[in-house]
Amino acid sequence: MNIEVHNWGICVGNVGIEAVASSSVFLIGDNKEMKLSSFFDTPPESYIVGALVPLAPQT
Amino acid sequence: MTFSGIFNIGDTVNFSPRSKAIAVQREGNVWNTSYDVHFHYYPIFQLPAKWIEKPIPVVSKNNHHDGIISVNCVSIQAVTQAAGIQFGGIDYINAESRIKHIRIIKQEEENMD
Repeated sequence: MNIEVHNWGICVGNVGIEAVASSSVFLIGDNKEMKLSSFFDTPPESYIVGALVPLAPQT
Repeated sequence: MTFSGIFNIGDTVNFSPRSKAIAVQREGNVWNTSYDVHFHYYPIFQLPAKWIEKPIPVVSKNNHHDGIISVNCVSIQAVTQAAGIQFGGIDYINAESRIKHIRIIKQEEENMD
């Protein structure tokens, strides 16, 4: 794939963002390659009732 | 800005932040100093990321006639977990964040009346 980019300047007015989190990017400009990976794990067994003992490792 | 969050004005060639976190929410006012959770306990921190096997070959030609980037007002409240804010060019980004979330709730006392 061939791309020809002609940049004539970028003007940004107002931007409001709550949060940029977990491998995300807010970019005003050029980019060649972006690889963003995010893992999030909160399975049912991570919801523990009553047990205030140290967390046993998952085998 | 926390946990390898980056704010950059200008050009960047390589940006590859990493972030690993275990978020334990414990009910009660007891501060946990035992630090009894470790990354190697949980498989999420060992899983390989899955990427595209054969990336598409791209040939790009840039013509910067006017290199001005003018930004009036940007309001951002949080930048966290291997995230990035960039005003300007950035060539290669390779970001990864891993979060394990655990909630520990106190047992409800059954009232005996």
